[in-house]
Amino acid sequence: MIAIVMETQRLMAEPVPGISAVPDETNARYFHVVVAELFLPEEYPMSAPKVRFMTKIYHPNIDKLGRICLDILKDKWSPALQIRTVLLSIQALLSAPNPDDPLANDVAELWKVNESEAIRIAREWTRTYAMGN
Amino acid sequence: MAQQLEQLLTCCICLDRFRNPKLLPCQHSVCMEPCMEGLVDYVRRQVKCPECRAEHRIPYNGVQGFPSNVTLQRFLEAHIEITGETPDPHTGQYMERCNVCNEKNYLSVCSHCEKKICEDCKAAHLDILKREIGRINNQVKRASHRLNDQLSTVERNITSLKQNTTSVSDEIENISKRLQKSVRDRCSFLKAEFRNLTMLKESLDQEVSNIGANIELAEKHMDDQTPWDDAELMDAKDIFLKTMEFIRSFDYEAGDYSRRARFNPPDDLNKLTTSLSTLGDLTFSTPNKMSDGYSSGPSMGSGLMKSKSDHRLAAQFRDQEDGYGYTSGRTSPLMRRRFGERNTERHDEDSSADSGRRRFRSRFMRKEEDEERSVRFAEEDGPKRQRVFDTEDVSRGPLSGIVRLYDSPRVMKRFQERDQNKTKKKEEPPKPAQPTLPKPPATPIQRKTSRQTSNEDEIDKIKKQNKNTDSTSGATATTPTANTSTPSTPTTPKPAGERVSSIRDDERQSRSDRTSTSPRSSANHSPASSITREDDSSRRNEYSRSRAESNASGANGTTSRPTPARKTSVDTGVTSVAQRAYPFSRSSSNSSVGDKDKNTSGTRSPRTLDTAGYERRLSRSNSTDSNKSGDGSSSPKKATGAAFSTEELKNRFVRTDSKPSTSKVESSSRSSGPSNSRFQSRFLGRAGTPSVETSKESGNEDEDDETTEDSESEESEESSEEEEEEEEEKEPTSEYSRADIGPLLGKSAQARDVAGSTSSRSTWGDRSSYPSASTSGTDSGYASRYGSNSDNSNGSSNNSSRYGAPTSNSSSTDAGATSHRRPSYLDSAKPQAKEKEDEFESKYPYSSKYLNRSRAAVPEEDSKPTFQSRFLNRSKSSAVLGPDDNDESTPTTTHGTGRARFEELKERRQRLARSKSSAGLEDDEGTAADTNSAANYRPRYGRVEPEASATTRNTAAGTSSVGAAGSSSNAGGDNSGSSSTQLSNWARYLKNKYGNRSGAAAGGGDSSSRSTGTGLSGSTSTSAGSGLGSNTSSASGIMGSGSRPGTSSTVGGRAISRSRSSHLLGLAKEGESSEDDSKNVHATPTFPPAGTQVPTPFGSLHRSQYLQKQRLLIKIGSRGSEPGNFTWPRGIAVGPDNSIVVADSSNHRVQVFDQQGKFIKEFGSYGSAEGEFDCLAGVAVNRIGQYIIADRYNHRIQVFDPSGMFLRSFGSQGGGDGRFSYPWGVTTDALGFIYVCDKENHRVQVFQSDGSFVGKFGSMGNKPGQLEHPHYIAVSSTNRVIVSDSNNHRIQIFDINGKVTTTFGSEGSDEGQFKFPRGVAVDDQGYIFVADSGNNRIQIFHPDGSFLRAFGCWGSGEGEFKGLEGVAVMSNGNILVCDRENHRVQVF
Repeated sequence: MIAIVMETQRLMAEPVPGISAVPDETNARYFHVVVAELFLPEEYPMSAPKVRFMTKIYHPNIDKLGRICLDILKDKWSPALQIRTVLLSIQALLSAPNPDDPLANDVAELWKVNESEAIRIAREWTRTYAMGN
Repeated sequence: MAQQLEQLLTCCICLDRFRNPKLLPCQHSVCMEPCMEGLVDYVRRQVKCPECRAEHRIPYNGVQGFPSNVTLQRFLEAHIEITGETPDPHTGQYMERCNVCNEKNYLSVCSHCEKKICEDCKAAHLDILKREIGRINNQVKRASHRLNDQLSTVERNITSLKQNTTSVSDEIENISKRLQKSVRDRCSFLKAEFRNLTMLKESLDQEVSNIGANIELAEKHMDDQTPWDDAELMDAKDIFLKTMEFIRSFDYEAGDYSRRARFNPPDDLNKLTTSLSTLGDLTFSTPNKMSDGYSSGPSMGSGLMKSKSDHRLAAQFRDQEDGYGYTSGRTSPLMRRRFGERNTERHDEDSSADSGRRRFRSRFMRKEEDEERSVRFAEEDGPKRQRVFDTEDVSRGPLSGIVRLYDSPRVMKRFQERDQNKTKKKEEPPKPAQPTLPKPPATPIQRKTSRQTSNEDEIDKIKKQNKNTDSTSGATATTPTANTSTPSTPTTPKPAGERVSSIRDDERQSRSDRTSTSPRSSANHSPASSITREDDSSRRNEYSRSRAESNASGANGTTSRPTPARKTSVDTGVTSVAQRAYPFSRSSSNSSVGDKDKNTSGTRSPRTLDTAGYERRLSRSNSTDSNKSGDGSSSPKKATGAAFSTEELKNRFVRTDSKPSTSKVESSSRSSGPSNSRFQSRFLGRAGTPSVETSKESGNEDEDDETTEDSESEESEESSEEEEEEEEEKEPTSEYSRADIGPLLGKSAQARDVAGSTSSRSTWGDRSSYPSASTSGTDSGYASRYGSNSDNSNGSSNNSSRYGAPTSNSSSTDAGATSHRRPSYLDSAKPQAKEKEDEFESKYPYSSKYLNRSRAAVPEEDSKPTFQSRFLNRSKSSAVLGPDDNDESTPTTTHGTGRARFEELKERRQRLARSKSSAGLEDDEGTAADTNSAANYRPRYGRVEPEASATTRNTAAGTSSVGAAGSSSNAGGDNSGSSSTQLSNWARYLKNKYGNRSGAAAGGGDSSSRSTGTGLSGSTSTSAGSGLGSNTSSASGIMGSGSRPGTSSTVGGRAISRSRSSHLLGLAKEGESSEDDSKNVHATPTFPPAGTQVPTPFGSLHRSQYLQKQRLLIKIGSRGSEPGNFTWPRGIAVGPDNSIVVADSSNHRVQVFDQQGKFIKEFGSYGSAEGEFDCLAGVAVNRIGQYIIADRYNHRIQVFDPSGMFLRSFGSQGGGDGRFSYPWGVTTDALGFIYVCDKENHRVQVFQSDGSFVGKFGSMGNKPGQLEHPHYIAVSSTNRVIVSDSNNHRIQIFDINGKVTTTFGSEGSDEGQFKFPRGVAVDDQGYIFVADSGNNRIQIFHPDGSFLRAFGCWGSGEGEFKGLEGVAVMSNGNILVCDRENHRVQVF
């Protein structure tokens, strides 16, 4: 709990560039991250936070429900990682999809076949779902 | 750089400074606790480095086996040194899981939740506490003015009482003088007789000599020697014939004179005294002017004041006693009273009687209930918890025992800290709840008390002492005494033994002083007094000497509580006195009595001594205002323990006095006979130590009585003198002697004078003697018995004696009270006494009964009743105190049962010490107790309203006859019961007094029997009610009880009433022992409904009722569309015939059920035509039974006639006047106006019953007066419009003009908070019911919006809700709840 508070403070003090993560008012373990949600489980930091995208994202490593395929959120989690690092990792993942380890196979397929088309669709999705128009 | 360093010293997992860093083989460090543990993979027995993910095997001995990173530790230390950070406070501790948040952390015990929790949670709890304190403090602040009011009232009353007292006493003195004279007139008559007889003798002498001469002449000269002529002879013959005739005819009626002149008191002295006692009407019923402050009116007269003070004194005394412990040596003097005890006190106070008093109490209770609950009682329940504020040296309120926080060293320390640090950290609000009762400086007595307590508390605190003394000095004439008292104080703090010894020393000293004094005084008097007097004095000397010696030896011998020594000495003293007395009194019976008494005294512990002294003082204080100051001064001293010496002194003194008094009595009694002597002996013997005092007192009393002129002043003087003496131990001896002995002498002289005319004298003697006797008897007996409680009794007894004796008591008040009181006794003893005799009569039977029981002489008895009545009154009024109650009961028992009982009682009493009226229980019938308790209240009222007395008496009788059950029923009982069953004076009176409420209660009368039943059931089981109800006498019983609850409720102290009832229940259940408990319970404002959990469904005692609400009575319906079932029931209303009207919303119909939930009818169907509904919401029934339906989706209101026929509709969708947007709740007031919650327009609209628009209020918003989605609405009988401002999570109360009067509630799930409150209802007493929809519970609020109770939770079981809608309350207090998602209606 101390760690969470401290992390939160630090996160608020110097946010991850490009990502705003705001703790929920009623639940310190819950963060609103731009288009995603981040929840710190009871065992945190011994277990990974749960991150999920709230909007549809066209990305080979993110499925329709917003679940993220990211190793550090799974087996590669380390207690030394923090929300900040997680967010950074996700940011990196978004910018550098890994179609070889896909969660959404169709997207991965397209990504492999026609990356520009895939990126276009992704942009469109982002405009449609994340930016609200 | 610094930041980097910081980072290096920070554990990557907990992001905190390393705590015992362990070095992993990969050279990364992790805190041992708790971080390392989280890394362990127990299955594979390895640790994965959080930084490099390297996996390491765990050493054989666990993670502990990893080497500590010493370098890092050094760095940490160095860093701490450099930065000056405070070291980790937790070093050496180990982490545990927090019991609240379940995090692993360093824990500490939280006093709030009593769990070991982490800092964060603790902080939260502290916040909660602070908030609570703030809240309570606010309440206290709000309520505190009441105390001030009371204070001023008390002050006013004191002055008025004082005036009254002086004037009355003047009057009384006048009267007594006149009476005296009238009695003495008989003397003069006798003297005239004597003169006549002497004259007769003289003339007879003359005759004899004349005749003799004639005879001689005739013999000598009636021969022929002397020439007599015929005329001469004829004359001579005539003369002789005449002589002959005279001699023959002269028949001196020797009977006239040879017969002993005797004074035949009419019937017996009983009558005389009683008539005397009723003669003057020392009416405390005049007290209208006195009771001015208390709106309760006449019920609280000066008696109340006295009682109050008594009570306070008693409390004091008890405190002190606690300090000493009940039995010798059992408790250390330092023992403090426990909360419980204090509570009890309070309790008693409460239960005490005067309604005024009660009122105060109850109000107090109600207002500060919360505080008590959270603060005091919180403390109470954790006795093991160290009480930081409640230390020895704090001063505390004499009544409530509330600590003055500012005095607490802890608080001071905190302040200091704060000041020093200037840190924001405020451990506690500056003055969280400082409910310390302002020490009421009003009554002298009070002052005394407070001082006393404070003294007691602060004994060892010199500073405080100073303060105290200052205050005292400021107070009144008390000053010198107070000062003197202070020095004595320091002795107290010493350990018990030491203190005792010191006390002993004091005693000894004082005794020696006294002894010296007493001889002197006696010597002084001896010339004046007759030979006997001299004898007395000499004897006295002896006594005192022996006394002193014995005492001294005892003191030397025992370190422990002086019981044995003292006792023995006392015994001896007593015995000797008694023995002395015997010869004088010449009655053999006396001796036996004396012996018995002696025994009693033997068993008595020194406590009695204390008590006696105390009492004495008290009584004196009671007797005269002037006395009070003196008393006050003395009492503190006493409290400190120096009192002991005082007492001792007094005892000694008394002893010496007692002798004189005895002698006096004897002298007087010689003619008066056994009664006097008996009284005396008895008194002596019984009292033991106290008796001595008493005797002395009696002496005083006697003086008072006979030397009517200055009696009281003298007494007071004397008392003060005594005290002074005691304190200064010397100087006033002469005075003292004058005061004490002089009057005695005078009296005896008087008696002697009177002796010429026996009859009158005897009367006098009797009279004089018995007041004292009564006093002494009561005092001593009672005192000895109870040790602690005696104060009131004393006071009362004293008063009674005082009043009763000279003026023969007299006042109607007294009499009235007596009678009232008496009836109860009578009832308990012999029910046939129920008839409404007038007070006298009632008194008589009582006394006669008493006579039968006890062997005491008639006069004594008389006096006793008087006293008793008086005393009773007093005690009644002061019934607040447990002790008082005891007192009451005590006398009863004492008188009723006679000696043996009495002793038994005494022991009991000692044991119970505080138990109320339990003595009665002990008595023949268990009922007695009940009666007593019932009677307690009654007399109060009775006094106030004499007319009511008859009723009361009846009631009492009823109670007694009903017995325990009756009483219990009483407890449960209602005003309604009483008023309805017998609309007697009493009821009327009640009604008058309490207006609506009792009236309403009366309205609920039909349920009286049921209520009775409930009461019973409360005590035993639910079923029992019927039996009781059937009992005819139960009605009366109810009545009796009714008075009580009625009063209390009136007072607003529902809590009281509730507790009382519960208390009574407890009584019935467990007998006396339970009584204590119940009393305690009493004090606890939140009486857990456990005892009385039975839902008292009927009756008007709503508060208690509501507090007990929890259990489901009826459950109506389930999901469905057939009759009796619901689909989303919303609004609910109660018809004038108690029918239940439910808006079955999604079935688009209205269903009507009877009181028992039986389906009666339904009407309406889906649609928008007339008589059709579309998801109707609110329903209301006006007074003529018309149904008013909020037809929600049709945006209209429809009105149906009682048969369900459509009458009219009004409104349509819109925002204008008379238009609706989803109207929801609807209600109607007594005048038929229709209030509609126009939900989507966020307003309330008011219409006439014909549908014409009247007005509206509210607009969208969350400010006061604004509404957001108001759902339901209710109008109280006082035209308060209660609106559930649902989306603002609050309840708003408007007046009929739409102005906000109250707003309460906020979002949350705490008490008094809401989540989307929906249904609201209000009962006829203004209690507000809120369906707290989001919290799925019903909350009940006081009319002022303060929280009373909540019940219910989410669920579909009984008493559980899913989505609450409307609530309604029936006239019998049943709560109807629409449980929407469960599609049912629940009745509680």
